[in-house]
Amino acid sequence: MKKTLSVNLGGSVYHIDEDAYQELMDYLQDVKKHLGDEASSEEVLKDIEQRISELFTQWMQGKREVITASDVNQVIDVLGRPEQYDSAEDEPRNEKEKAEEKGNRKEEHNRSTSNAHRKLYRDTDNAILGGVCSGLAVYLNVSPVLVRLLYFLLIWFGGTGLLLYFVCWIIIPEARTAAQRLEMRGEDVTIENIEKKVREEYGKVKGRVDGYVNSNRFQENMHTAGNGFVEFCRVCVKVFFAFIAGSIGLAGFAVLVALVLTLMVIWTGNIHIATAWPHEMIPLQQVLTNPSSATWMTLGLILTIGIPFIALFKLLFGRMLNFKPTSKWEVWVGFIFWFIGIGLCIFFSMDVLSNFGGFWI
Amino acid sequence: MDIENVKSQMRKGFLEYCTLLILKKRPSYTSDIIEGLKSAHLIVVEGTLYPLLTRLKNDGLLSYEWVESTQGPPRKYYSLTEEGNGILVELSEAWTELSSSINHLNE
Repeated sequence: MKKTLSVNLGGSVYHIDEDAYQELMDYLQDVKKHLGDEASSEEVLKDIEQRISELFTQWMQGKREVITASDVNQVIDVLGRPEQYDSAEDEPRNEKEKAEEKGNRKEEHNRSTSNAHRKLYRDTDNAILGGVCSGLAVYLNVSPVLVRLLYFLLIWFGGTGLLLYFVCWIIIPEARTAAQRLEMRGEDVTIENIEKKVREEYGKVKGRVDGYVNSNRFQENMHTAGNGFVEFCRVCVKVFFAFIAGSIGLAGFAVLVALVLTLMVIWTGNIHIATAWPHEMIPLQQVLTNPSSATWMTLGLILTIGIPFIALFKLLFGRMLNFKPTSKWEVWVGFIFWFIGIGLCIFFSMDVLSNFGGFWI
Repeated sequence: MDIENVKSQMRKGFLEYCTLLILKKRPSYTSDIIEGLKSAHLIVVEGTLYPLLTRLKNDGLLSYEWVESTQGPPRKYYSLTEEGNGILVELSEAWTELSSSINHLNE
């Protein structure tokens, strides 16, 4: 005699032995782990569950009522262990991209010997906007992240970075053909090398498909003037928002630093810093003499400003610096702490405000 | 030389192409696609296909609708998009080129 459970699998209900359930659960967990954190992995998992459900229905045919461990084993045989998925399929994208990146870096390293022949092109294969930064990075044999950061910082010098970027975009040609891409990396343009390059690109079927979707599209769009203008506007809006977000981020960072300093003053009790403040700031000193509410209020402010700041930072630089995507629970924890921060601010600002009142009246 | 590895690499390269070919013939349920690929010995385990289909769908080459089946809940019914058709033409050209070069080498 065995205990059974009833489960909902792909929209159908099944009775399943307890040991079989455990096995199936383990399998699905493995698959989930294998697929990684991508948005699409949930969809894939659903598809797989549905297929399992289909197979069960097929095998039971109304003759049997309970799914046993051997059914589950059979299902795993048909679908394959997650490790086996790869034998005829790409690795999950995260790992694959990392591997590719490593490969590219190695290649770049090997190619650094032939510096002399290198030509400057825009590398649209690895572009975020126009491929200026990635092209420069290939030319200088450094990481594109470095070049991008430099450009971004230059924006604050009267917009130099922005102007420079657009000028570069216009005057640096795009590496379109295999020959140009070889020149970009400083390899000799020989028939063998072109063939190698083409074969390399042929191998990356996924990259090719993406390439068609993105680069060909992009080129076609640029050919027709109207669409070109739309593309240009889109990029402008993108740059504009990046700039605004960056400025807000900097300001947020400054405020954060100030708040942390305040907190340190309160905690160390070193009021000298506070007394050195300008005359208009004196009410703050009085606020600080009531450390408990001031501490809470500052903490609240740090949470209220800090959490959106971190979120913004991740949004802006997450892609460039290859951060892991934010998971659901991280978002939730962030939200909860943010609300706690707002709550603290509201509650203790009442307290602090009454102090202000006392001072002024 | 690991002959099995070479063979599996070859199959891997054509998986996308063959999936698109199957769907070009007629829109299909996932299980039909699996059947097609298995009969062509292109996949060993079914799990290979699901990430691939989702990826092709996200790239805009495939689309699906939920269609009622005779048994059980509705299932995904995949078909080729216009974009998928375009890519298929490109891939077909690449294949013709490749196969003619191999034939040429075989002569």
